Amino acid sequence: MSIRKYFKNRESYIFLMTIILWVSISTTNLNFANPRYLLELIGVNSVYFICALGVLPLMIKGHFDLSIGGMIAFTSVLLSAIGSWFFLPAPLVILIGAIIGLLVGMLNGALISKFKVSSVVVTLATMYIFYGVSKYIYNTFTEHFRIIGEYKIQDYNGIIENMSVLIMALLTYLILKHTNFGRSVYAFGGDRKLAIQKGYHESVSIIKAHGYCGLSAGVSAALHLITFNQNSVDAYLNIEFELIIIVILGGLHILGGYGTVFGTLIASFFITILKSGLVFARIPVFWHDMMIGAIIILVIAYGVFKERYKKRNIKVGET
Amino acid sequence: MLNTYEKKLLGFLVGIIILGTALFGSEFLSMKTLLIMANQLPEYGLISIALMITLIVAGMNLSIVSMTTLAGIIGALTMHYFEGLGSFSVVIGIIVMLSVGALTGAINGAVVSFLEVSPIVTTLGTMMLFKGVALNITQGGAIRSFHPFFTYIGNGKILGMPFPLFVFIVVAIIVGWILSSSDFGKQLYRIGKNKEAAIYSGINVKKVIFMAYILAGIVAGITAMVMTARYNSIRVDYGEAYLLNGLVIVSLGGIDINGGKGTMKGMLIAVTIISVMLRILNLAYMDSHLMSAIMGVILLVNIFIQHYSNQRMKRKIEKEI
Repeated sequence: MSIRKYFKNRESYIFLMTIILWVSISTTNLNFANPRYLLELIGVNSVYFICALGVLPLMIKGHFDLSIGGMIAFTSVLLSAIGSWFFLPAPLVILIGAIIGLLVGMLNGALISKFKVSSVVVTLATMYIFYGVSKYIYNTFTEHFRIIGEYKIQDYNGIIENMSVLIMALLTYLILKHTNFGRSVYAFGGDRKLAIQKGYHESVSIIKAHGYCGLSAGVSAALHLITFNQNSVDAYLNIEFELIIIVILGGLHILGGYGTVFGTLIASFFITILKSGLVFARIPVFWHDMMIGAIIILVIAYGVFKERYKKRNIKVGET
Repeated sequence: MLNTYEKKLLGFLVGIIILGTALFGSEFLSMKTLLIMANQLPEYGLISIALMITLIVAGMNLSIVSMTTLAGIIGALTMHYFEGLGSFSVVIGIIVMLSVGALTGAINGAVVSFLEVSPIVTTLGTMMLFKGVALNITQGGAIRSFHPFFTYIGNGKILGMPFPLFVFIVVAIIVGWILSSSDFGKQLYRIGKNKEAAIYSGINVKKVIFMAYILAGIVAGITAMVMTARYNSIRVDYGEAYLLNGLVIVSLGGIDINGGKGTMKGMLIAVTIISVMLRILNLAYMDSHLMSAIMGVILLVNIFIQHYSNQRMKRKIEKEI
């Protein structure tokens, strides 16, 4: 593949920027270049990776989910409640978390497809409900919670987080590329009317996409419990906005119809190393938000100018 | 006067008031309730107005709270800088707040209208950017204690009612007039409903969208003024919950997230519903977390009611035909 062709991909820029960032931080602090450290970094931030992969099908459809943080809080409260009664090994925790998340996410999807309202409004309402209920349960029954992470099998030692990210990435790739649901996601993102005419069932597609998003939230709640031995009621308060940033940096078209697993993974990695890299490079914490904001705007503006340039070229070619 | 949706919403409000009276009697129907509501209402209301303007043109403004805090912080710093000028420094501070609001709004508007970037992405980026700038200026601390003339804006009283309420009413009337009666307002609705059609009917769409974001920015500046004056201090994380509460109020008020729908009257009724509801839950000694869960339930219930009454209306029309 020629270099020029490579740069036509939407993901190529974020890939390039990630490498530049990684090299430049590594030069200031050599510890950063250690691959073991990078794997650990992915393990600690696995929630971001997994949730970003979970919202990807949803955002390709042009939907949003503001209730992810709420779903994580809800699942983690339920999981630690269950963990206070039964002994649970780590894989089982992830499985139960996934099931709870899936059900909660499908509830979102069912409400959206039944009442035909914008996904923003419904998930806003459910966000309030999930957060409120889980914080209430947590505060009133605090003494009943034994922390589930105590039962973690020590031998896993971070591998389970990395494995989950890998499995989730493969699963998302397979779903998007090789299932009917995946094709319907791209179809609805591109043109809703056309997709309906093609015979895709809209409400089924919506429920599945929101269910998948809930599943990722459930899995990440379980992983947070396993990694940090701690309940994550407050830990992911504004994760929804961060996820939107990640997925867009990964090349997603905000109006729907385009987005890849590879781009999302790279973008999550970019945000992860940006966050910890700024600390490594000894940049004061007051600069972090500003830099992330500036990078997003730059990336977006660049995309816009590129598209205009393309349009102008086409016009010149035609006349 | 009121359209069908607003009538339903008003019915909802009356229902909630009757519920409150039935549960708490004279404790609920008292001057104290009115005063608590009057204190609570203006900030929520102002943020919701700013959100509403951008939502009507099929936009979105996630950066509204960051704009507010940034305007408040820069205005507060200027007030401290010109402290020697006495009450005149307050005037300068307020002008600075409004113009910072307008400037940040203009940045959003320019990116959304001239670069044609999706508003959600743009304002998400500027949300982080403005917050970062504000954090960088203050280094995370609070800016405190202003001229008494300024704190009067937040805590003073006219006819026994708090001053911010009057600010809110004036802003609501002006913006309401702009939306319902001026050419600019009508153009906003047209663009929100169908952008293509608006372009072909000769509206300067880019300019109008740009102006809408600036207007929202100015309202954010006014919110900054009220907020800073009420707490007599300003910090980056003030008002962080207002964005989502504002979205709840706006969508309860019948403003369509996809643009082109919604009126000031509906928004005003929605703000009143939310603050009456909060007062009732307060009287019931409800846990604050459950209170926020109930906010979500209200929004869902409203969606149910709307859906079924719309269906019934459709059936009626079909029968008549």
